[in-house]
Amino acid sequence: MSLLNHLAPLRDAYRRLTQAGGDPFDVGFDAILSPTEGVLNGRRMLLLGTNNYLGLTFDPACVAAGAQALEMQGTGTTGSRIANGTYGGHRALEEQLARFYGRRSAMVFTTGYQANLGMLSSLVGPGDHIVIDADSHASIYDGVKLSRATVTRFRHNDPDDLGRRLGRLPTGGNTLIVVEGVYSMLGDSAPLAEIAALKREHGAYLLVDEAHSMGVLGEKGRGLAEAAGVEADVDFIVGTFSKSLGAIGGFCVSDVPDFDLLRLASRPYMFTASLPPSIIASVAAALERLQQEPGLRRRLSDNARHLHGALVAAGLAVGPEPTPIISIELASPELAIAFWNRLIEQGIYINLALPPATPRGIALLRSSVSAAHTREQLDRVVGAVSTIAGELGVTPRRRRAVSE
Amino acid sequence: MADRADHIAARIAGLVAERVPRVDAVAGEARIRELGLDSVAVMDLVMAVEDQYEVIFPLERLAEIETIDDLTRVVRGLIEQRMASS
Repeated sequence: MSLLNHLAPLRDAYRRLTQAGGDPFDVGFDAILSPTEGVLNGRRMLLLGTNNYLGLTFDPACVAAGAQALEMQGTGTTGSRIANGTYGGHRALEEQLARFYGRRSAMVFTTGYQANLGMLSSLVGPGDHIVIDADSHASIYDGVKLSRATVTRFRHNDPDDLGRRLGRLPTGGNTLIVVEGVYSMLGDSAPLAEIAALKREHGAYLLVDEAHSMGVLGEKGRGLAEAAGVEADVDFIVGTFSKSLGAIGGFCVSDVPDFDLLRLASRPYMFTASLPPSIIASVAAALERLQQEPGLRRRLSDNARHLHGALVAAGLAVGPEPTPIISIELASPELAIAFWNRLIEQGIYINLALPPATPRGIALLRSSVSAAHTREQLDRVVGAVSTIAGELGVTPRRRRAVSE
Repeated sequence: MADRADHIAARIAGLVAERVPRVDAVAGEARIRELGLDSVAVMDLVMAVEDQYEVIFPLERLAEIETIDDLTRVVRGLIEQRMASS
């Protein structure tokens, strides 16, 4: 009886899936050449699964800001935000985020995962209720577990179902509704106007995770709440620095009174070291670029529409909306892995997503488009995907988009 | 009352069987995870049970559930709670 015996089903599934060839869960790049190119096992790869929406990872201003902070302030803070780990840069970045969103307060966390853990675990407690979208990210599921509130799920992107469940909640305690701007697997966005109306009707609070929509949606790039015109109804916006801002870290902005008390209540904020000064500096520079260059967002949106349209035209079953996350649904995990391996042979890296990380037990090849992709790169992807789909007998069984 | 309890048990076993491929019926003592349902499928099952009985099944109570009988027991408690409060 081994200690890890409880993981036997996982081990068996993993063996089954990887015996066909390469291991999609153990990719290690030899080098990264640009936001859209890298080297894998000696071969040049076109990168189409990086969440690098604005392509800022090699932006000269961001790199220079990070390098200067590294030189001047060292490699790390070696401490918590509530001890020695808050520098001027951390405070300045929080002020910059609050200004960007037009909010009173902001808190910066060490990762996006911890931002959700940190907020959800401390905003509500025993006797309160949290209602989350069924397709929520793992960080939301883990965060609500830490809250000790009563947790219930509503059907993905279904405001009627949310309304029914809100109506069933017992009286007493606060209610927090949690949704995402753009969902990370199929790239579909939340029906936020309807959800905001329910929030008002039931006197609940609303938290929106804009991890995949910050810098992507909205005229100013503030995300889905801005695009849907309901920012006033959103009490908490959570986001990450590891996607459109090209680094790592997370944040929450809000107008609620006493927000700063959370700094002394949120364990994922307190009991971890703060972000290194170089990351803080590159993120601050990236947020400037996001605000000053709306052209990046336009290019991203054009690229997303182009790839989504071309894949739909090629008969592939893709997600319902042309957001930068464009996923191809395949009939089985085995087929998805075979497809993934063939793309690698063609010099194209894409994400593979399998159940239970995916909704409804589906297997996905998940791409994320960047503003830095050229039309030629995207057309090369469409060509390769169409050819492999033909070779593997992936029939255009559904020409309509995948949605429920 | 016993009839009603049996009815709930049968209905829940039916909802489980609908989610397990190539199975028509499942026993009350069957362990849900051994039927091949992953963590998301179990949560989706709970959602269907919630709708069937108009209750809220808090996710944190999933830790109590190993068998279909466990699920039935918790749901019966939730129904009784709802009826007592209405």
